[in-house]
Amino acid sequence: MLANEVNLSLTTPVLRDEDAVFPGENWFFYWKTSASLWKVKLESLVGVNKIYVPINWAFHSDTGDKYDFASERPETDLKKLVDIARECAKEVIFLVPIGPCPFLTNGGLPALLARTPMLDEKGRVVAAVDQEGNLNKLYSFFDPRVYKAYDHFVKALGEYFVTQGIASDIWSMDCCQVTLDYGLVSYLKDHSHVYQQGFSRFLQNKRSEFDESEDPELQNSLDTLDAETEHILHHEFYTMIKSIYLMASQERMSGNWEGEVKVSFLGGGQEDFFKRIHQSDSLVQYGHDLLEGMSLNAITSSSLIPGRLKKGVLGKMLDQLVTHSFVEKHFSKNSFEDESVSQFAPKVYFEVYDLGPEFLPDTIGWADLGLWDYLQKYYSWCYSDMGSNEFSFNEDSHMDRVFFFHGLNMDKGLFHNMLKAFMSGAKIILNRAGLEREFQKKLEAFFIENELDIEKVKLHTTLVNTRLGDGRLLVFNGDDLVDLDEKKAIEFWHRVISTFDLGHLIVIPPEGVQISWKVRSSNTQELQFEEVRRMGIFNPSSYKKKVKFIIPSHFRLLKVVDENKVSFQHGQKEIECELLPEGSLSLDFGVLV
Amino acid sequence: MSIERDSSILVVIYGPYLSDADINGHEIISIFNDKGLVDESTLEDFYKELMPGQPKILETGHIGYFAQMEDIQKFAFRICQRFGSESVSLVSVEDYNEALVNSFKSDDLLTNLENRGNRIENPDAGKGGFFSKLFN
Repeated sequence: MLANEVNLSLTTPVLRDEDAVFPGENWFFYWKTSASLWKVKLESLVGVNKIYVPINWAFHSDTGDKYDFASERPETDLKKLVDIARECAKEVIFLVPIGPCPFLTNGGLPALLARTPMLDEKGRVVAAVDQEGNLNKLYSFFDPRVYKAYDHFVKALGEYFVTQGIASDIWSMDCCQVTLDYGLVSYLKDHSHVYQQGFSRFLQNKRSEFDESEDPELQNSLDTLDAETEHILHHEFYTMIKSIYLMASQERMSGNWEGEVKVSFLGGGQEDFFKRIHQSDSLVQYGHDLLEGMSLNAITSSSLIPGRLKKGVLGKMLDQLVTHSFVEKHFSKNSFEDESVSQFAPKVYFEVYDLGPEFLPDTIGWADLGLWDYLQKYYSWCYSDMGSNEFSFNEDSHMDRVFFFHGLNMDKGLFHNMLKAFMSGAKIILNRAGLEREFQKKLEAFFIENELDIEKVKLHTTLVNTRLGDGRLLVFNGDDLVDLDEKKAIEFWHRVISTFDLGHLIVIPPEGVQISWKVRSSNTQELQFEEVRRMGIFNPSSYKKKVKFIIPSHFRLLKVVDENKVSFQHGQKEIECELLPEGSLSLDFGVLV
Repeated sequence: MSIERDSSILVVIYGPYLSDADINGHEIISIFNDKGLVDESTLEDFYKELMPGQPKILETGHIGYFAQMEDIQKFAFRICQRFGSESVSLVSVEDYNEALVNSFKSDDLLTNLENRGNRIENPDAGKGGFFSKLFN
């Protein structure tokens, strides 16, 4: 057995009631316990002021067309739940799924609607193993009957909230898995025959739209589908269906609706599945997936992972990085913007905008240019993978960030926003490969019109660098980097990024060890510092690991916190720690102005 | 009949080769044992040893192309020998899906896969060969 795996197959897992009801990160599964025990349970959550309650559709409706909100079973009384939570000084935030949920039987669909199992791209039925070792098979949301029933359900739920005067926030929840090749993938993704039928209808509709067009080229384009067009159309169809569910939840519950949140489920990936059916869990993998999920802007849920695995270092990571930092950031968007609040938030140096899923998987993205390998190695998850999200620049909080863009998916709006951000002081790296001729000309004209000094440096590619006040724009051609080996690509990025003087304390951890960084503003006793940064060092492996690093001159060690199974030594310039298996510690550094 | 589940069984889920519609053949969709999916480099090494040319598809637990079912059997048996597994169970993706849909617990699924699969015993299992010591 690999040493970093925990295999307890010889013991019978016993699920504690608390694990079932509170599966982690202050989530509360109201259907797992009697309503008469809700108060006792919630009172037992000391120091918690928000609980996250996913709505279990199937629990409120066996058939998909009749609903129980406190009319029959007391456990369906969400109003009572909110009232009890208030009595316990807790706020309830409801999460309404917009697709299959891996922690629920049938993915949360009422039994009568669970007709077509979802298939992955390899034709396998999609399933997840829950805390209790149950196999939760997921069923397709591409069945029109499911959509109709969903719309009725969220309408009934919205009306129930209005009639009962429930003021709690509702978030639409997109349940996702972290995958090796495609990052965060929604459980909504399906390849079943129901999906294929829907896609065929979508193509037919497209054809009839195109038939009305007078352009013969357009009319022929759907008859001779090439791989790229087909990929784009699949993406368009998927996005359309997802938006139908999202809009239904938004419109039907508009009074309480706050937005959409992506939730990444540890242990919910298809690769994890084949380990977890043998009760073989990898803490190293979960530690990695937790941080990757955060970098992909998803909230991590450990609800599939048995409580016994969360007693040690994984529990600490979840507690420190997710529950008390990332989740707070997501659901209380203002909490980190108020400087009077000294609360740690994830440290982000880089916002990386990548190609969207509409591009074919073999299109050159940042992964092919070695950027992710570099950032993971040197900046230990201090980056945000923005995917194809909309770019926005905040002069108050984004001045120390570097933004990455591809020319290939640049449109007029993004191009103007990028230049505007540069003029406002943003630091930007643009891969001009695939940038349309129109934008290339505009970029050249922009340099001339603003009389910008251009520096050109040759390093595997021609780097074109210009500055304007605090702003910096560095343009290169990614096509020149594609053939670099991993080592050379990392060296390239290291040389480029070091010119941005980010002032990071670089620690390259040994394999299996994870480093995290959080930041808060300095308080009145720390005015000599610009900010305080907390480095977390976690060893989820089963081996003893050593971490050693030099403290930069502008960093001062303030305190050592949460030492667990670790020996620690530090001099003026160097820190060395030895972490036993499942060892961890956090170090607070003051960063000088 | 109930088969006592042996955790050292290798399971192979196979299906038609989908990457190229013009070519008839098969691919291994998932190959796993109690440690999870078999890693990419092990699959690649054995493919190169047994099959002509490079694998056309290769990722953790997933490899192809195989022209005949016998090629998959031969390949799977070599991996089974390498890991010192008791046996290998070959299951079509349709049978895998049916087994999964009809299983409610992980153990049920593993038992179903072993029952449904075309099982090849490894007579050398448990003899403590070099590879089994190294990789298990």
